[in-house]
Amino acid sequence: MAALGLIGILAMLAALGCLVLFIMVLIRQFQTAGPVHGIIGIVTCTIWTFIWGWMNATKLNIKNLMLIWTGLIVLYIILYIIGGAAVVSQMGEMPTNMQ
Amino acid sequence: MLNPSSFPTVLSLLRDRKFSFIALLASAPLLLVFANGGVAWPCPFLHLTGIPCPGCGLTRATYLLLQGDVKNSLTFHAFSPVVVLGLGILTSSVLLPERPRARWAEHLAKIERKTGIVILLLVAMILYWLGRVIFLNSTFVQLIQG
Repeated sequence: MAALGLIGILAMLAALGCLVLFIMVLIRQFQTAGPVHGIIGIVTCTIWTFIWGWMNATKLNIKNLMLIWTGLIVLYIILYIIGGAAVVSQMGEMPTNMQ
Repeated sequence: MLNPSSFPTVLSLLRDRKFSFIALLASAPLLLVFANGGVAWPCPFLHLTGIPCPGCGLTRATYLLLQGDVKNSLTFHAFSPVVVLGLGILTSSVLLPERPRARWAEHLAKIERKTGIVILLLVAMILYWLGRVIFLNSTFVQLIQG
């Protein structure tokens, strides 16, 4: 149970980091590519901004930012999967015939 | 005042085959992972705030629409036909040879400049999301979180 809580907190921190980095790249996207690209970045769950960021990483000198963002996304996905699997396994351990 | 026709066009990006290929390649794992019961891109906005973002449910809706389940697709996200259309345009941009692709991209960019279709769709999508968050909040969150 405690491990599950820790995974939850770590996932939350990774999500927060992802959101902060998304906003940083999004600002660059609004400034460089214009408002249409920026809004597409917002409405596509950050995916467009992520692709755009990598495509322009060298030009805009944001390679380090993109590397950290990518790392955090990978970490977030791993924690999300582990968290989900832990919840499912705990549900399997619960007694089924409650009287 | 802002004039949408002065914004750089998005559809002119289709001239670049590399861009179309990367965009198409990025959407494939999302749909494939979802088809196998997983979530390839968990939304940090939803995780932190508990409120789905404007794009939440769009992968599911697109997947359902590609499967022919129009009703459920539109229940998840009304803009799934736009995404399917976008995927079709991206595919055509990847497959077409150099010259027709350039002409096709220029034609689409011209339509975008004239009608402001992309910005209109984006504004409509934001309004649609606001409507769902304000008027159907609990139903919307339940639907997205499964």
